[in-house]
Amino acid sequence: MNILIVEDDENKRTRIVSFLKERFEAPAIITAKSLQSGLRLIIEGGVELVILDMTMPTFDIGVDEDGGRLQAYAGREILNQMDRRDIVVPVIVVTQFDEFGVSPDILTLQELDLQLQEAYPEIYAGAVYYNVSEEGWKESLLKLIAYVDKPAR
Amino acid sequence: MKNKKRDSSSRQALLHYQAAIKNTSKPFTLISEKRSSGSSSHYSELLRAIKITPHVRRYALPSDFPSTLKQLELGVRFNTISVDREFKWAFAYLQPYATKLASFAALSQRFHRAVLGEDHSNARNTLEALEKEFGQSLWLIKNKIAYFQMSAGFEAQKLYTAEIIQESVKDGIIPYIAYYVSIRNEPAITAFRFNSIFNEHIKSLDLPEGALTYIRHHILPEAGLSLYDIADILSYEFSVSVIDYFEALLSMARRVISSGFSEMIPSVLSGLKALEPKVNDRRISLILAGLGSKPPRNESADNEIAELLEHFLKGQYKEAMSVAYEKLRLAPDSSDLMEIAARSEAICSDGLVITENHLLRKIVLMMKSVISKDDSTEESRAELTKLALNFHTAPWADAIQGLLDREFDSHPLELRNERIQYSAYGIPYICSLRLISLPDSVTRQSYARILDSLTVNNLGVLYGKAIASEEINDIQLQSLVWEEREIIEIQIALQSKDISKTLIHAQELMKSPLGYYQHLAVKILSNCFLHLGHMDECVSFIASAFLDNRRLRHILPIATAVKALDKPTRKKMSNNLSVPIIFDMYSRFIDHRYDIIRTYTYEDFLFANTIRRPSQLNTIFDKFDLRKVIYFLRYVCVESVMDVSTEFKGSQDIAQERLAVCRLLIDLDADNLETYQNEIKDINRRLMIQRRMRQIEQSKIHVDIESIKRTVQKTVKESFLRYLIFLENKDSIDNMVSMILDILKNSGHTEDQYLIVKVPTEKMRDIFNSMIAELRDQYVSSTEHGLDGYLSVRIRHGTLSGQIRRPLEAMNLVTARDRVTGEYKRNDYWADRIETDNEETRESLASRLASFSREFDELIRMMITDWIQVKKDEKGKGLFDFSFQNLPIFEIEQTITLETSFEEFIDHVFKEFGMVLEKNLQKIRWVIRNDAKSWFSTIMDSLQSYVDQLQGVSNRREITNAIRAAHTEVQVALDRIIEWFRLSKSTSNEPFNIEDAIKISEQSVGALPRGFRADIEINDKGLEFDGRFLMGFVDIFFIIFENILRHSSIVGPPTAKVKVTRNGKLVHFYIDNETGEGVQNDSARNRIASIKAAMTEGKYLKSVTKEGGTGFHKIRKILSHDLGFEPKMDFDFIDERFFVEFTVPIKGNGR
Repeated sequence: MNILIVEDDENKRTRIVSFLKERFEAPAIITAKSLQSGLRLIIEGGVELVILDMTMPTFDIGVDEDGGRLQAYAGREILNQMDRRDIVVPVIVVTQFDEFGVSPDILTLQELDLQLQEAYPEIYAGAVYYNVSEEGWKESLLKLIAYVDKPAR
Repeated sequence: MKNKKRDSSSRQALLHYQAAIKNTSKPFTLISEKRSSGSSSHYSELLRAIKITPHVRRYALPSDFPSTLKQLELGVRFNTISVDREFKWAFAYLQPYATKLASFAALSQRFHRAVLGEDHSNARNTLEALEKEFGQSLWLIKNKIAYFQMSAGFEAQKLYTAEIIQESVKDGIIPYIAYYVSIRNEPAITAFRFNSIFNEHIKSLDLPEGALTYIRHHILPEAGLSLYDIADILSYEFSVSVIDYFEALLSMARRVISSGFSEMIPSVLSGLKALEPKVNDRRISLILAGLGSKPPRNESADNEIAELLEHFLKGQYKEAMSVAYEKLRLAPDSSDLMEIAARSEAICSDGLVITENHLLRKIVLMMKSVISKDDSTEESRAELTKLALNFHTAPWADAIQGLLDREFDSHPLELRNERIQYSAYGIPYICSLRLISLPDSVTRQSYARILDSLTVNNLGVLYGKAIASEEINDIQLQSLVWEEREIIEIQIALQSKDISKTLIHAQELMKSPLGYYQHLAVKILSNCFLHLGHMDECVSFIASAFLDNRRLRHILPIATAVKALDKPTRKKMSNNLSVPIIFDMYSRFIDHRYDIIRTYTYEDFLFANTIRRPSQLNTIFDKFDLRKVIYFLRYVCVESVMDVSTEFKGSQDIAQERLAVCRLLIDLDADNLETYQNEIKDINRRLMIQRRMRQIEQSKIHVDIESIKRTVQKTVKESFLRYLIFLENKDSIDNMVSMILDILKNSGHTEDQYLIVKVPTEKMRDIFNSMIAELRDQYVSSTEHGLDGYLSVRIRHGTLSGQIRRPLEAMNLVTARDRVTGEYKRNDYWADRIETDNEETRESLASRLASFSREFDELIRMMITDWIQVKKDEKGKGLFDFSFQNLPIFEIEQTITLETSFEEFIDHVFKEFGMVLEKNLQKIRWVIRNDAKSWFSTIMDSLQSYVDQLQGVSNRREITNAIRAAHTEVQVALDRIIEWFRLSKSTSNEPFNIEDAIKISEQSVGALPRGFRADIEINDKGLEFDGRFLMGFVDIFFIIFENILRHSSIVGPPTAKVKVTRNGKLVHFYIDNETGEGVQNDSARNRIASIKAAMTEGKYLKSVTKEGGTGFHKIRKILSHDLGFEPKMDFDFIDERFFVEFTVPIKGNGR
């Protein structure tokens, strides 16, 4: 399976990659560190599963790039853009936050999950709450991967 | 016979209630039951029975005309009953007061007229008469506050309000209402702002819903009341005063009619009919007439309005204006005269001289501004809204509100508009213009019958009848201006819901040369397109109308149109340039709900035209309306919209595209040349600052080789020449030494004796080693030009710590060390913020975060003391390893020949040192990437685990999210720091603006979460210094700003005032800041004195590589060495502030 992980947090990205390599035989994993680099890879095609963070900078941060706007709902924006371009690839959101945005535009993870389910039923598979001190996220991620990997989808 | 029967039934009912009240031990309960379930047709008898039973009356009925404010306060009140019963109860209760109410109606009209004409003595006398006759009422309080504010100003109204609050029941509803009415009247507050303040506050009141509705009714009356709300308002108002009850009754009657609660109309009609003959309040007569009852008695003012309207409809605007002002002198509250005057003035104000400057005139001028949508529209709208709110009991206030609602109504096709209709029923004059505010042809025709009651039957009256769809002979309407005939057609079409026909007539009306009629046509046309689903035309029309006159945005159906533009429609219309424009209008004027769709429509439009970037429009812009292209480029193609496109590689690419867009705009829109030039300047400046900041970040590892070369010319060159002599004679010396050694050995001499002959070769080695040592020390340790000095200033002195700590400070996760104890302070921010009943949890978190701060800072300290240090011997610490063992001494020595020049030797040595430095930098990057990042992660994970285990904290997610966000940011900060450890790239010599240097330092300090600001004042904005001095100035200001942040100890964000004064070739810098309590103590003063003394004695260089402290020695060194200025420098406390000043000359490429 060709998996794209769009995640700006290095630790989280590394842990997700290691976990997937542990659990799947030779998964083809590519990573992106921002909304735009993630979106570009999705548009290029060939991705079979997208694992998305929710809050990310617009561009990859680097020596000459400060990342542009930090977008509280960057993950939602990627889903939006996929929907807009009719790209049908399953998406799992893995986030370490259970609340997003700033007042008055605050959403809890549950609210956001519901919103995404309603808005993108074709591609949005679900959200995983990532917590480094707990192992639960791994189980949840596996379940969602198993769900999207079903031939019916 | 019927009356007799009724009298008998009434008498019986009275006797029955009298007996029941007398015989019960719970009269209140009994009355309450009779009110809610007894016969409502006998409410009058029940009330009479209460009144004639004094001991019951005292607590079952309110004081009708309260003589004190305490009496006015709500007493015991009955539960709210059905709205029908509440109306009947109100009519029954107020009927006996009809004569008094007639007197009130006359006096209140006199007061409102006096206010409009600013006839102050009359207004004051009338208020006194009202108070004398009717005692206290909320009507009186509200009008007095508004009047005092208008006539005597802020202090007078506040004084009166304070008296009300003092003399009222403490914490009662009356003082509460007075308090907010007073705020509502304050000159500095707008109605919009008041709305938000009051609505925010009322949420916190713990009162029953009915009480809240009642309070709102007095402070911020609203449309959209339910029947329950109406019943509550009447129920509460019963307990206050006869005057307030009467006013509420009329207001609620209007609400019932305007909201279309038809089931309530019969009760209201019958009650008002009974009240009307005695009260003689024309408002009642007109409500009745509006409900199809008999037309009111004709008054001369009505005829005058009809005559005036005729002038207007015939296009005789000047006559209309002069007649209107003449009539208004006699009947200043005739709002129709005001409106016709305003409409006429909106069309043609030439040559009219009005000498009056009273409120009435001001209102007409503001109405005119609102109607004509001129430059003052917004201001006039705000002022009129406030006026209408503060005098909302006055009929002319209803007229103002009605006009505003009609003018800014973006749904003109819907004839039913509760607010407009409510206002129309409040105006006590008859006028054909009122018909447009009525909801359907039945109501309009009913009103047309009222027009028949007028003694005049002129064009104005015929116009009204025509609008009501009555058959009118066309010839009779021939003298109307053609635009008004189109309006009649539009109104008739709307009444028959024929939108296509409406559209045709609106298109005709659009041809009018008069803005007044065009605006009306724009409003109707855009809604017709929308209603008929002609989205392409609708959106194009809205965008064009807006670009013709931007103030028309108030009347355009932007929100409805945007909502109708769903995904498939947008897809179909992707080539329509007006689509992104209308989404931008929505974002700009309504809210940000569709911001993201705006960005998509931007990109869709480009793609539909097979271009990827907006600047590429330069080849095809002539395909579109130029005004739209300009708007699109100017407002839509901005960086925050363009960054949605995958076309751009990064934020700099987007900034460059915006520059290209601005350049294109200069060509297309020369009228705004200066705006675009300024934007180009701003973007270039931002890019330049970013570029310079990056340069500075990449220039932290620096050795001033040129300066070292100059320094070692004398000392090392002499050694080098000596070394060459030894080298030249090396073979002969070696031969001679071995010969002597042989002789000595053979002659039996001891080791000591032949040690003497070893001296020449060792000397040579010594010379070489001492040269390398000297060069090494200059390279790494020289406080003037060596590596360690730069490491100290640019990395160790606050910069590293600031960079890593900033994300944690932003989330309030770290605290500082206590100056006295040296212990880390407890974290009160999170301890106070978490929601828990357990104080131990709070304490535990406060101290855990303190220990986390210590662990975090210890890691930073370790990086500074163990890694970012120069190591010169085996025992030393530091990853910049320049100990002899690590230097390629042998390799260097091998390259020296007799032909080697001193310069070649030096260059070679520094090249080798550079390679050593590069290896060290690789190592340091490696340890930060692999060790530091992992260690920081570990302590943050550990903090996270601790927080995860906190029990009984309901808002734990807040701190969890804060830790996680900070964790990611710390990793990013460390990635950025890794890039610092690269060999400095040569910096540009391009001159720089001194303000930019200061801004770079300000941004480098960052200073979250407290914030930091530098206020810069420069007497010569064009002042520039030679590019090679940029780093030095940035370093100086960074040190000064960091000192302010760390040491000023003020509450709130610290600010540095930076004053730069150029005087010829000299530039004086004066930076000062406020100091907090306790900062200016003896210890601080002594310290400053000792730093100054050290500087005077020239000892400052010794402190350059030391960490901590104020950094003044470093500044001194930067000024004198890096910048090459011999500075005049001073710093000290003065009053409650601390200052630093220095003067430098302009050198090199500076100008």
